[in-house]
Amino acid sequence: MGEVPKRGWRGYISSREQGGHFIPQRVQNLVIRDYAARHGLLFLLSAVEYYMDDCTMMLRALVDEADSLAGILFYSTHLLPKDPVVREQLWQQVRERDFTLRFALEELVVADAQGITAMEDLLLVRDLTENRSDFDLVDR
Amino acid sequence: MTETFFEADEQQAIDQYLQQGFVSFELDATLLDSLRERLFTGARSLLDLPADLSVDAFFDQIHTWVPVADLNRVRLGFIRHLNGDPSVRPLLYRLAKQPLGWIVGNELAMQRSLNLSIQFPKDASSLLPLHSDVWSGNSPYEVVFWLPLVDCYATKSMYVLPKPQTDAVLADFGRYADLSAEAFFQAIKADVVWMEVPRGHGLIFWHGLIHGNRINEENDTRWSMNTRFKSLLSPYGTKELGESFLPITLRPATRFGYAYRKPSIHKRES
Repeated sequence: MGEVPKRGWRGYISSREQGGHFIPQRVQNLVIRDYAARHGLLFLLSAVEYYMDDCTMMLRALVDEADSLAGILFYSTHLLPKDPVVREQLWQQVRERDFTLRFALEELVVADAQGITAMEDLLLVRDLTENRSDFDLVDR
Repeated sequence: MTETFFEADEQQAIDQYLQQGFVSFELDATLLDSLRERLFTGARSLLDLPADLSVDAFFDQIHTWVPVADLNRVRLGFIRHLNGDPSVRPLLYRLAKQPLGWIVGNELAMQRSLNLSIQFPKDASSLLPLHSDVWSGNSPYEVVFWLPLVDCYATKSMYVLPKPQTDAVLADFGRYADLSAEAFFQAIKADVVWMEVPRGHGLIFWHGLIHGNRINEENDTRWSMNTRFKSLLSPYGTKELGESFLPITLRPATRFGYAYRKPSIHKRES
């Protein structure tokens, strides 16, 4: 019997500002490639998210590819969708399939329900400390 | 009448921290022993140690078995060993939980990577020149939990420039800005305090204090760990949430507050 082909990791980088910084795509790719090499991951080319605010079209395209991927290798947690509904679609892939999200800059992994909770906690605290310094109760 | 919310020992720790920028405290001996045992077990797999070596002798005399040239490789091996054990960070938190609550709060973020300092006697290769962590991007809202794994005193310890003296230096920083690290140390040497922290005690200090170490002139090796903690919702420095810190004790009231949405007076479309 032939060896089962190893599934690859699609990189995910962005062309817009993230976490208050503009990171050149070349640098984002260098960080991803280095991470993949150190962890022995088969790295496929990166998809580049469009620059329009909050746009997740490329990410959705990667989710559509989930069956053929081991997971998505994000440059950073700052590239996760701000919209909880869109994030939930990602988490669903993690919960229901053998699908993992890795974040090269922070060296974090979301591979199960526990990882999802930890990541949501991180995003909650980041949002509270960076964006909600006032008592903001309006709908987001 | 003045309202008092802090208990006597809590108030005492707070007063000392406010005055000096550091406070020492007693540790749970069982938890500390458990941490030392883990390192000793890790050492047995990394190094060729005598079978009858005691834990105490291992920590004090490791320089007998490891050449200085090999120290950094061995140190990194220990750090990998510690970071690969998911029970070590919770254990460190438990060791300092009460004083952290007093000095920082009970809703905390903790540094992700664990560090370990090993300073052989007379070794000049593991020195940390005088500095403040805030100068290299750490948030001034952080504290360091400094955990000696052996008795630390004199040059086998670290020095800090207490809060009033650090404030004075920072207020007149231009006077020191052009000096080398050594000349800077000589200029403040008379005011630094060497931390006397016997094994079984820990230290919380503000890393905005000027601090560092010198060549260990004592006979035994120094071992210490330092881990940063901060209030979860206080401002972060360039050592950011996710990259350098992770939430460890997010409280339910914060979860409810974050999830709350202003009720709408409009009827929902069915």
